[in-house]
Amino acid sequence: MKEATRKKLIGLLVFTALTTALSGCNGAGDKTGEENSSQITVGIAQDLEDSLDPHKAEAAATREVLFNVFEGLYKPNCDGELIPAVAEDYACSEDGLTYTFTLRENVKFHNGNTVTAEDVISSIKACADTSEGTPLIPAFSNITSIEKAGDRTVVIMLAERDPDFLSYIASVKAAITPAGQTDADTNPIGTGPYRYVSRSVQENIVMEKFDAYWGKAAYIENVTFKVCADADSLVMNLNGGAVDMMAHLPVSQAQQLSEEFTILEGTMNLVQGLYLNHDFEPFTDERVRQALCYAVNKDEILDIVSDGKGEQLGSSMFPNFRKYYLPELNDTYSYDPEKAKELLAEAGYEGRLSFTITVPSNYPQHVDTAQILAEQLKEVGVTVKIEQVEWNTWLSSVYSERQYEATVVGVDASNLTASAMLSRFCSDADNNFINYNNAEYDAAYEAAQLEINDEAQTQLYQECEIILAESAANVYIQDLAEMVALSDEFTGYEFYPLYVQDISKIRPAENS
Amino acid sequence: MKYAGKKLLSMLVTLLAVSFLVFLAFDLIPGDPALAQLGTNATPERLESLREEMGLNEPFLVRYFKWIGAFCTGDLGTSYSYHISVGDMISEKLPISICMTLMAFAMVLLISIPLGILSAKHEGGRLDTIICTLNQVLMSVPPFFSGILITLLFGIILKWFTPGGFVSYDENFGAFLGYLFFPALSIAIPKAAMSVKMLRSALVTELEKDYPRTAYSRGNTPNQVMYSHVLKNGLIPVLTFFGMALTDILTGSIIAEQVFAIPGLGRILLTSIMNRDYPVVQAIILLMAFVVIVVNFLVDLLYQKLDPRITVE
Repeated sequence: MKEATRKKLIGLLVFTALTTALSGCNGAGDKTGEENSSQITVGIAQDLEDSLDPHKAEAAATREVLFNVFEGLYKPNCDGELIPAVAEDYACSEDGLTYTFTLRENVKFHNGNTVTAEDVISSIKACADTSEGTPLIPAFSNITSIEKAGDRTVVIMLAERDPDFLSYIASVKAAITPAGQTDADTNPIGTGPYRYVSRSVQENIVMEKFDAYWGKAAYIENVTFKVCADADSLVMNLNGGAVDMMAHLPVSQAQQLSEEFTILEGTMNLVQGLYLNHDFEPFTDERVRQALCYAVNKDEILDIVSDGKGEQLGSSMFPNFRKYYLPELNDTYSYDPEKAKELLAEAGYEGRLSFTITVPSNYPQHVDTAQILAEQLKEVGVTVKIEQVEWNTWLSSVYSERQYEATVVGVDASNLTASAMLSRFCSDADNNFINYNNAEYDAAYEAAQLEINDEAQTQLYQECEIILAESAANVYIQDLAEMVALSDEFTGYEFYPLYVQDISKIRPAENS
Repeated sequence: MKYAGKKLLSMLVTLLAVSFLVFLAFDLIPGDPALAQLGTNATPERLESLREEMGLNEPFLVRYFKWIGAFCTGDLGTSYSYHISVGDMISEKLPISICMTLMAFAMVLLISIPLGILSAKHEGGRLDTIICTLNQVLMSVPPFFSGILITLLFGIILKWFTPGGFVSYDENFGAFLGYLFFPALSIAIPKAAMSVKMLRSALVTELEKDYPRTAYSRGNTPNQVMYSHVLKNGLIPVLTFFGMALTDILTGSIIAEQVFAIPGLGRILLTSIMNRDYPVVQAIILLMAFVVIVVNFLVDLLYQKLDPRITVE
């Protein structure tokens, strides 16, 4: 009897499979314009392998998606300005130590509750908690007190003046969440334009439009972030119609897409370079580092890696940071292999410099760049070995333990402050993974941090960039081209100077 | 009974050894789960407190026994990266892997048994030659390659399915099975080809023995000889292969899942290894080891059923 049932079951299974497959019907593939307008599937290259609690979420890939669910008191807009969100206004005392935020009236959480001053206080406190050493937002260790001063007023006091404070307040990490929530890791409740619905590991994250959103409502009802981990299947996913939008596409893949997609072009807002470990003997000599800079032909790298797209860089700042970016630094070292050879000879390394570039294998652009660098450096007599490692090995051995000689990677900013790019080069910074040690730089950076006048401060930060460029701290290459593929059925995509995918701005294209 | 006891004991020892080896392997490879979690935002203090929270600062053996202790009480732990229970995570993905494995296995049986018999019946004939040649070719195609070819042909050119358009089983079961059909096929093809070859040669050997001749002389038709006498004996060596094929299919589904973008157990296993998410990796590997052992055990029992002369000791 049992045998018979099993046989039947297997038979049924195969039969169903055969009939469905052969009839060619497949749920995901069936698309009609009507249904589509209120549903968008956004491809993401990496699952949110992280806590969904915005305060704890570490990966940029997680924050980029959670941006749709959460908001801080303020938030960035696509021009990089900070605009009021949960707060409607703020006032800063003259000494810059007291910030008074006025909460917007009647902002709702996704669970229907109204945001109160208590929620704000508990959220900021969670990020500023120093009981385990560094707080979740390191800059918040500067907060001395946070108090309620009326139903809609919260006062935050700082120990030291920090002109970047509002930028930290506006990051996804400092999002306002309900006080006393215990399941924030798996059940994110925010105030953003989209409400979290469900997730399936390595499969998708589903969100729906939040009807009680305080601001301009989103256009599209349902959003599915679909994990497309495999780069090769990605193009098929897009062309096959399973995915409507995909950001961070390499140029080579964007070129394979059908005409049903609009390709939007931007930059990734990161500084890709050959980062040098200054503890590695040859790189302690400035002439060697400069020689490497002269030996590298950035035009060729851009041409090969991304078909000439992208922005060449000369220091640790990318163009979308308009306020601080100095385009002229790109000309500090123009391609000059002869000069490179001279400098190497001067430093006593003529024809006998060899080092290993450790590169994270999950970033094809960095791997490609490393390979071109190796070829270019060979021409000036430098021998380069490339070692590809997976991302976590890179994190532990290169980034954390600093056991490497050189690496090609992109360094990005986690918030809209100059220090997000520049603080890591201070000799005592925890994240100074290149072991850069320059007293002049330390002094300039400290002066910038202490400067009260905005213009003078900007100048000091620029001074830091100049020092990095002139001392050839690293071989700066480019801000990589960023391609976003958007199905013709949609429009309204906006690039942010941060790692953000703002789905609320996307709307169905009118003529589709 | 004694046999079952012995088997059970050896199963436990094997599982224990597997779990220990996996645990050890993770201790030896570079990469730190706490750092994997914090990424480039790691500071020494936060790394330390997270390591403490994850219990990574304890000695290796203490960690191992704690984990195995919890595992035995049914607590599979919490995923480091996803912060959700490993049990929930696996049970959500298990149906995907089970369905795919069973479908592929059913295909192996459905293709290989009739073809094997047909080939053996016409040994040396034209049909046999065609089957054998085709077999040789299909046997040597690895599933990931046939997967790519199948995606290209049925997905991109014929558009019988949407590559990457996986539908979850709780959303639409029919579409779910439909999507799994081609991945299952890509895993089944080489296994089916091998099975045909094995079955054919086993049957041919049996047909040359004395008892089929006796059966013929008693007035049995060729079909009667084949189905009531030879097939049973011929299946015994093939059965071992089927057992191996089943476990191979299960582990082979990891690759098919990559090629066809199916978010099943294999995909979780791979990403968890990359994220150094031990609790998840441990649980999945143990589950797979468990299945392999159980299948082998069942094959042993089946031998006895097919041929009462075999006693399992």
